[in-house]
Amino acid sequence: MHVEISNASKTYLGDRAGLSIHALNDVSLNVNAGEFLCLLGPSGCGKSTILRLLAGLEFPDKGLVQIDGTSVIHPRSGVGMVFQDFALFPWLTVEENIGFGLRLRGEEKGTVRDTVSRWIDLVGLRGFASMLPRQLSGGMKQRVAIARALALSPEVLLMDEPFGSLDSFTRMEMQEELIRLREQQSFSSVFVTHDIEEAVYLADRVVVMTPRPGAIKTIVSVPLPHRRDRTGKQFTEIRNYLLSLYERASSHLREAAR
Amino acid sequence: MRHRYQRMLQGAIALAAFLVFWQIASITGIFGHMKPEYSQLLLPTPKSVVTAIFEMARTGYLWDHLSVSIARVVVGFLISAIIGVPLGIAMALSPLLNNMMEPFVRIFSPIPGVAWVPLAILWFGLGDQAAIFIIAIGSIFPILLGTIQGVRSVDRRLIEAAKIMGATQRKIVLRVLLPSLIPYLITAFRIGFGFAWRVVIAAEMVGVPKGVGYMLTIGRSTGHTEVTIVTMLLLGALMYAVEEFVFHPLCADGEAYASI
Ligand SMILES: Nc1ncnc2c1ncn2[C@@H]1O[C@H](COP(=O)(O)OP(=O)(O)OP(=O)(O)O)[C@@H](O)[C@H]1O
Ligand SMILES: [Mg+2]
Repeated sequence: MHVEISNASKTYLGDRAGLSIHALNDVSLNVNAGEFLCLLGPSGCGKSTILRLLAGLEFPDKGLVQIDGTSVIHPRSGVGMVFQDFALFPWLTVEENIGFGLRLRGEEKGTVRDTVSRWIDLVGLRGFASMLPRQLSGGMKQRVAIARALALSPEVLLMDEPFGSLDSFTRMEMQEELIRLREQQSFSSVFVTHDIEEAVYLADRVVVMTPRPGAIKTIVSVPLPHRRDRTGKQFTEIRNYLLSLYERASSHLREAAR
Repeated sequence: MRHRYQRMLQGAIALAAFLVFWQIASITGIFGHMKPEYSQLLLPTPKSVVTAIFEMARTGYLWDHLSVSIARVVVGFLISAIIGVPLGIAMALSPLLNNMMEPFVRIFSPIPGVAWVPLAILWFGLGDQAAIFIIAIGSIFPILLGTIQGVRSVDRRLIEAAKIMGATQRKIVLRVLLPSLIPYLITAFRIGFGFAWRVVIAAEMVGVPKGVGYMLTIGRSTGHTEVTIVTMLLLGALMYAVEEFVFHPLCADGEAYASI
């Protein structure tokens, strides 16, 4: 699947007249098949908006959002999404949550059971299959959410700060897990984060975004093989470079505010 | 444990004192205010109340009337749930329908259910239909308004998650909306159920034959005051049982349902 955003702009109309928010300004971006893209940027720079455009939950005012050459006008199969706060169905068990999309598709019971059980193993939740989401820890909930999206074998997986609410240990564990899952099943990813290190650890390319209005400042490649060494020379160089981009951006902002 | 036992003992002593007081008041003409024959009519002794309970249970009189009221409540309540839940969902989802229904809801929902009793009797006569009609009217608004509120507060992300996984509009209603509604429906049914009982008793008291409301008034008008008191106690026990064994467990489940 080839994903392409060309010159997209998006303004949200506020509730009260005159209060509209320019969320994205002239954003162009493409995601090649199998690529891992990170959207990096401070709060409010339009990261979630880009994901929602790709998911078909929102539409650009100007410009195009296309998958395989056709405009995205509604959610389409082959695109999966993992929400920041999990969005698990609280009344369904772990296995029912993971099998939700498969059952929607009308897959046979046996197929659903096998696929769900395989994913429960893959994300390390054996023994928790019949628990409800509220009985799980944050990391476990996020595993369920990821398994639920991946069980549908998406070609593109959109993830909105999926590890944002996890502690740093669970977070590193989940990053590892994600890399492992990508070795099992290939899919392209658009991964939103405001953690620079997380972006450098996971991404093939890091999309550096700035706010007011949300725009892409630059795109930085991370040409390192996986498992990356977080303390290695090249890793820290790239991380420091990204950091410097934001320091400059924020000093500009400070000047502008003066 | 000991503490609990002590508390129950204190309660039991107070209750026993109350019964003794009641017994004395009843046989002394309310402490000499009237002839004992009168006071035993106005306030039958605890013993005659207990005897009446067994007597009414033995002859089947109690169950005859109780079952009639229960059947009316169940049917009327089902009707209002069958109309109220889908209508509430439709109103919450369709602004057009909501705008059209709004004046009716505003006009009719504040009218107490019992106020419908005269019209219901006029339209349907003195029978089950009139009772069922007012029960349905009396309990539909809490169910309708609870459903609307439930749909409006459903977690939008869950709907989006389902959409992304390929859910159609219909599947979203069935698989996301309805389950999210359950805690709201339990609350709405609980309120609606209370309303349903109040109106059925009122209707039976003013002329709809048989039922617990009928028992309450017949006890008075035939000089069997103990029947009235037995019926009151019975209603209290029934409401308590429904609350304790139906709604209380349901609510606990519902809360578990509502949030992650
Ligand atoms: N539904 C909406 N209605 C109005 N404004 C919105 C809406 N969604 C987002 N916005 C605004 O658009 C801008 C970009 O929002 P977006 O959620 O895309 O940012 P983000 O980069 O994901 O931020 P964060 O890191 O805090 O999640 C913000 O200023 C936000 O207030
Ligand atoms: Mg966001």
